[in-house]
Order: sequence, then C-alpha cells, then structure tokens
Amino acid sequence: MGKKRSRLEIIRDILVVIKEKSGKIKPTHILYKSNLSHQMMDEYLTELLKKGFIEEGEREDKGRTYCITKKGQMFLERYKMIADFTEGFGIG
Amino acid sequence: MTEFYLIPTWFFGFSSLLELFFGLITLGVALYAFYVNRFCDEREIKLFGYGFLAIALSYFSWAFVNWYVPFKASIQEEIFRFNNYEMLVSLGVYAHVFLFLIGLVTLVFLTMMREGNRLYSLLVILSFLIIVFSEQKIISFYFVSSLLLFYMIYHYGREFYEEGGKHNALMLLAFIFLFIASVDFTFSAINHIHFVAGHILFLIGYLFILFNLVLMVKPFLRKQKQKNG
Repeated sequence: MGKKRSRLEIIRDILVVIKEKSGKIKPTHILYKSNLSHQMMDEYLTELLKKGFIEEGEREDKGRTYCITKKGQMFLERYKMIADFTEGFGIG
Repeated sequence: MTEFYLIPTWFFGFSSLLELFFGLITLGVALYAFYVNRFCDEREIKLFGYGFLAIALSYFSWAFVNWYVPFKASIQEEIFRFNNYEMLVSLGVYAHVFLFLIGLVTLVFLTMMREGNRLYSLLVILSFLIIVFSEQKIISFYFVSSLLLFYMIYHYGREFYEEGGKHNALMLLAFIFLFIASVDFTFSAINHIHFVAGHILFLIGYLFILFNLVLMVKPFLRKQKQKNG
C-alpha cells in the first residue's frame, strides 16, 4: 500500500487536475481524479477558494466549474520548494 | 536580588557575538519560512516562522544585554555576578526569557498538529506561571525550556525513526544539543563555566539548524541562477 498523501500533496493533485483541464473543471471530475471522498473534496475546495488558489467559474447550465488562479499556478511552480521546506523541518 | 548568571568577564564580547549569531541563524529560518509561506499560505509554516522569529528576537535582546553590561559597568572581578542591578538589564533578560519561551511553545504546539488556540494558550500560561511563581526565575526558565526542547527531540526522533533522512537527523541532533545546552544553563547561576559551556553547546545546535537550512536553500538558489542566466 502506498504512503498516505500529505495535505500539500492533495492540494497539488487538485490544482494539477484543474490545470490539466485548461483551467476549467467540474467538481465531479475533480472528485474522480483526486481520489478523495466528497466531503474531503468539498473541504479542500473551500480552502483553495479561501486562499485564492482557485476561483469559481461562471455558473453554467451544467453546474459549478473551477479554474486555477495565478496564485494557484505559483503554488505549483514552487511546490518542490514548499515540500522540501516542510519535509526538511518536519512540519505539516 | 535575583542572581541571573555568573559570567567570566573575558567571555562578555564572545557571548554577545555568539548570541547575535544565534539570532541571525534563527532569523534566517524565520524569513525563509515567511518566504515559502507566500506561495502556499499554510498555517503551520507561518507559525513555524513566528516561532523562530520570537527566538531570534530573544537572542538579539540577550546580545544587547551582554554588550551593554561591560560597556556601562566597570567590571573588576574575574567573574561577573549578573543580577538585576539595572532596570534595562532586567528588561533585556526578561525579554529574552519571554520571547524564547513564546518561540519554543509555538514550535512544540506546532509539532502536536492541533487546531485552535486553547492548547496553545494553556502551554503559554503554564510556562510563564512556573517562572512567575518561582524564586529562581532563570533556573525555572531553563528548566521549562529544557522540557519544551525535550518534546522537540521526541518529535524529530519520531520523524527520523519513521521517515529517516538527513534533514530529520540534522534537526534531531540540533535539538539534542539545544536541550543539553539548556540543561547546562540551569546551573549558570552556580558556576560561571556553565555559561560558557552552554553557549558552545547552543552554537553546535544552531550550526546543525544552519546546515539544514543551507541544504534546503542551495538547490533553490542554483535553480534560480540557471533561470537567470
């Protein structure tokens, strides 16, 4: 069995999924790709919205969509540095 | 009159420099934490930064006191009895005590991975109550610090046991030396040699932290350099 993903890894996975879909994705697709429970995914999405890493797209007939922001892209670019820091100092 | 430390007078300049150096190392860790936090906005990283910032400020305050005392006082004895003979000195020492404990409590709280402020406030209040109601405040301060540092050893010991890795090993070694230094400082009001030995042990501990920080920052700087040219 693989190692349990850290919070930062889950955030990275969600952002990667959104980015791969040209920055616009429906929650069901995130749920499928990020391998999380519905409740967990909702919690993460709320957090990412609060942090400004993603934003809710305009409501379409088919429901909510999410797109990655510039701040979210910066997180992905600097992910290794962030992960090295938390791992290096044993936090998170 | 409360006796803080017994210090050999020849050590005054060195002690100030060492404390300044400890302050710069911990400030470096804090600033890097704040820099990393700019990209992820993580509560743990921010708290880690504040913890190290408080420790850095505590060392700057201590360095100031150890610089100010020989500058102002005419010391003729070989061993200086560092007590609360002047308001400014007392303020400096108590600022060091307050900030160092706040920093350590923040780091210990962080390793417990708890949400909320109740446990944090309890840790802060308990730590300070022990010192406030103690007759030998400096001894109590180092006793509480040693206890908190022991929890940090436990945290990094467990991390090293479960995950391994050079970073965890370095942090474990760092906190072992900081713990021994803190225990040694408990006796610094009894014999002046403990003040010198404590500084050297602290130096070894902080050098491990500095080495860990350098290992972390180096690949990032190399990457930046490649990007720029």
